[in-house]
Formats: sequence, C-alpha cells, structure tokens
Amino acid sequence: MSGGRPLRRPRHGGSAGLLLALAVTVSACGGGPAPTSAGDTLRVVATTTVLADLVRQVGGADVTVTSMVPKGGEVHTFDPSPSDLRAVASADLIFMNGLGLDDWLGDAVTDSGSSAPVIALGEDLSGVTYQPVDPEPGEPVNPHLWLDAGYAARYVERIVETLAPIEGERSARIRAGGDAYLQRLADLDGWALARIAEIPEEDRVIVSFHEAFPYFAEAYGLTIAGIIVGAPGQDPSAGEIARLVDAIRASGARAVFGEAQFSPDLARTVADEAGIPVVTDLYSDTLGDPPVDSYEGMIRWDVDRVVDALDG
Amino acid sequence: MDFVLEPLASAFFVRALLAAALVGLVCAVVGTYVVLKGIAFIGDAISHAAFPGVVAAFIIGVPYYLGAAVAAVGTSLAIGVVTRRARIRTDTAIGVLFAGTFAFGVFLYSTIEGYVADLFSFLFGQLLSTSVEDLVALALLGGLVLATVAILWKELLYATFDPLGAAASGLRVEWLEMLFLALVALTIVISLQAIGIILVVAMLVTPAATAQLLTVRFGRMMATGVVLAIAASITGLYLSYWLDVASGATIVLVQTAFFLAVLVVGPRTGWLARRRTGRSAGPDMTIGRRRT
Repeated sequence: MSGGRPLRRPRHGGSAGLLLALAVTVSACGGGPAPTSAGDTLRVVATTTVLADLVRQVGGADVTVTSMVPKGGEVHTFDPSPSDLRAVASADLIFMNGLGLDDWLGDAVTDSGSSAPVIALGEDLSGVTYQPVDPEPGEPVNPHLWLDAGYAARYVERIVETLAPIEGERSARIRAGGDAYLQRLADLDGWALARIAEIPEEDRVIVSFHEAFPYFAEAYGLTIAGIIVGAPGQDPSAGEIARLVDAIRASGARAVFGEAQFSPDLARTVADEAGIPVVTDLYSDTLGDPPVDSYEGMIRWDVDRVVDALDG
Repeated sequence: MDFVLEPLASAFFVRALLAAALVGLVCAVVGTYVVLKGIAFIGDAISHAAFPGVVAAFIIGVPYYLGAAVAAVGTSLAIGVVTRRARIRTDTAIGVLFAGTFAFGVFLYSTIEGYVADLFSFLFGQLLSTSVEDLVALALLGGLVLATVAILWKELLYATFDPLGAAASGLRVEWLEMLFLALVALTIVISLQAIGIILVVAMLVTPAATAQLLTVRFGRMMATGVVLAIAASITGLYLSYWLDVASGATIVLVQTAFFLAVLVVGPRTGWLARRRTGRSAGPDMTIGRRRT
C-alpha cells in the first residue's frame, strides 16, 4: 500500500471551480449560450490532464482549461461527477483523445446538454502509423498516441487549427504559442531518442503495466515483451501471470514498469517472480505532482525512469 | 502430475495457495458458529462495512487493515447494540448498517483524487499479489482467531446453542456475543486482501453450510467445513490457473459446487437420504422436515 503519499486534494482548483460556478450562473440568468464570460478567455474542457496541458501550452492566458479526469485519476474507467458535467455544460470547446480511450465523454456531453464542439485529437491524424490493440486484423486501434512526442505534436497542430479561428484577433498569439511549443516538442523528441540510445540495444526490452506504451516504444527504440493487464480493471489470472513470467525470461526483458495510477502490487508480483527490477511510477494517461505536472515533464520523467532501470 | 506441479514452480502461486488455504481454514472455523447461529448475513454486512475503513485508512495514510479492522469491529458491535436497544430484528439492523456503512465508503472514496486504484482491488481481492508480509500477517492474525476459539471453545459452544442456559449458569453471554462478532470481523479483515469484500461471505458461510448437510455433530461439522474449505481453495486456484479465470471467484464457485453436489447427493438431504429412507421405514423428524 502506498500509504504515505499525499492523497487529499481538492477535486478542482478553488478559483477555477468558482469561475465555473459563476459561469453557470451567468449563462443560466442570461438564457442561451453566453459569450466567453469567464475572464474573457475561452473555456476549454479536456478529458485528461495530458490533453489539458497541451491546450494550456498552446493557448496560454487566452484559454481556461480544466481536465475531467483529475491528475492521478484513471481515464479508462472514469465516471464523471456532477461538477464534471457542470464544466462540460459551460464549456466553449471540448477536447478528447478518442479511439475508445474516453468514450464516456459522449454521455457526459449529452447528459449536460452541452452544445460545444467536441474535437477528437487522436483520430484520423495524417503522418501517424496507428497500431492495433491486438495483432489480429480488425481489432481497435491503440489510443495512447501522445506518448510519442512526435505524435503529440500532431495533437498540438490540431489544437492550434481549432483555437486560432475561434480566437479572432488573438489568433496570431495562439499560432505563435503553438509554434514555440512545437519547437519544444521537437527538442523533447530528439532528447528522448538520444537518451534511450544510451541503453545498449539488447537491454531495451521492457514489460509495461497496461497497453499504453506501444507508440512510445516504437518512437524511442524499445521492445515491449509483455503487458500485465489486458484492459485496466481486468486483472490477469494465475496462468496468465505464469506465461508472462515465461515470456519475460525468454525475451530477456530487463525491468517491469508499473504506472502511477494503478496498484503497484501486480507489477511487483510479476517482477519478483521473474527476478527483475520493478519501477512502479511511470506516467502514461495522467499527469501528477511536479515534476510530472506537464506533458514535457511526464515524458522526461518516463524516459529517465526507463534509462535508470535499464542502463544499470 | 504436470497439472499439479507446473503451477507450483511459480512462487506467487505457492503464496496464493497458502493464503487461500489459510483464509479457508479460519473462515470455516468461525463460519461454523455463524451458520449455526443463523447470522450468515452479518458476514456480508461486516465485510461491506470494512470498506469505509479501508478508504479512511488510505486518506489518513495508515495501513489498510487497521482501518478495516476498526470499521468492521465497530460495525459488528453496532449491529449488536442496535439490535438490543432499538428492539428490531437482527436482519433489519444488518440491512440498515450494512448499506449505510458501504455508502459512506463510496462517499469517502469519491472525495479523494487519484492513486486509489488499490481500493477497488479490495472489492474482489488480489489473491495473486499476496506478498510474504501478507502471508505472515495472515498467519499471525488467523492464529489469533483460532487460538481464541480454542481457548473459549466450551463457552462459545454453550452460548451458541443454549444462550439462556449459559446465562443462567453465570456465563456473560452478552460479552461472549460481542467477542464473537469481533472474531467474525477480524476473520473478514484478514480475508479481504485475498478474496475481497463482495465474496468473503461465501468463504465464511458456504463450507460450513455444506458441512451441515453432512453431519449434525458440532466438532465433526467444523472439521468437515475446514477440509471442504481448504479443498475448495486449492481446487479453485488450480482451476483458475488452467482455465485463465479470476481466482477468488473460482474458489467461491468451487465451494458453491461442493454445496450443490452435497445437497443433491448427500446423506441428509439428497439422493442418498432418499435411498436410505426407502429402505428404513421411518425417517427421523429432522430429515423429514428438511426435505419438504
């Protein structure tokens, strides 16, 4: 049990929550969709903290972004609360990932009566090689594209294309912000590639907790020898664990990587059984506390954890 | 032989096997009293009541079993007090407190944010993630429960079957009752990690109930329950290994299968009883009543 970690945080930042509550009141009084009234910025709701950060980096002070899944929360099995629906109802714009990651947003939008446009950042991107969840044909596509910084840049381009026309006179600032951020992502991408390249090639074999890292692995030259849970919330059976341990031994995987938003117990069990080290705190679907409170921070954190564990 | 030996090559499987057998043993012993006293749903109530304790322990940052133990023992004692004070039936008191405490757990859960994936593993247990420390704690606390039952064997038996006579002979029945509920609570707490809040009542009730179909004598019933429980734990875990299915649920299903098999075939209620009845002219009253 990770008992010592600070767990109690307010569900939303106090002032943002207040603003949203105010915005609801205003639109309720005025009747019909109120024009951008929350401090004259665009109110954006994103499904996850990762997407919210991408939007924030592009939009800067011109947007107010909230994430539905709180930091440290689990996106696949998320259940929106009434305050989430309130945020959706008063949003001017909604960003989701799509590809099955955050399908619950559809119900939230319907339930809240929101008429804001919903943009799926991960769907139908050009220049992206989508990977199926399962090697069999016809299987759904893996949604965790953003863990490749090059693909995250595609998300950012779509965010800029969406925000710039809406923001009118501020669109030049949005485009400039987007360009600066794209440059930083390109630097991040190069840094990650160079950092992982420090690991001898035969050691770049890992086991990940859930199927979140195929694009990360593809981009930075890692091989994923196995995953612990097929779908979040569905624990493996004893036989599956035994076969995974066999696969680890056969592939020479060097470490098991658990993820911060999941229980570390299973990752520990598998790693102990296979006799390899375990890292329990990669970030994938959610941001956390500093230094993992931004997308760039998350990628740096994950890459450093991987290099530390494999290059020993 | 490979069928039996191959899984044993994995240390995690051996730990899970030991944990399941230990939980089965302790649950069957305590469950024998639970079934005979007719308070099966107290087990369900107490296990659900442990949930807010687990969540609260998580928020405060203390080990989960402390929170679970406080909440479970507290609720079990509250059921006793409410039943006596409010003069309502025990099942009504259980219904009120069990839903209320579980709702409080969900309420607490929704106030915290992130990093709580562990909590939901308590609903169904994480038998396969049993660590060496878990096993040690299980053995110590389980030993404590078994030792208490052994020391107070006569008193518990007397208070279970003849509470009025026990009271008349100077035994403090109320005190024994409270102690017994605390034992049930402790049994449930040590079973949570392995089998989970939702299914633990089966571990407590099903083996003892199956044993009751086989024998009327107390000691024999407890021994039979223990054997059935351990057999179900081992069979269930092996089945879950070879069929690739959830371990806790498979163990409970095996227990249920044992129960149904004994019910259909067994010497007191089933096919064997009918054959015996056919041969001997007059069945005794209990068997006759039970069958109809």
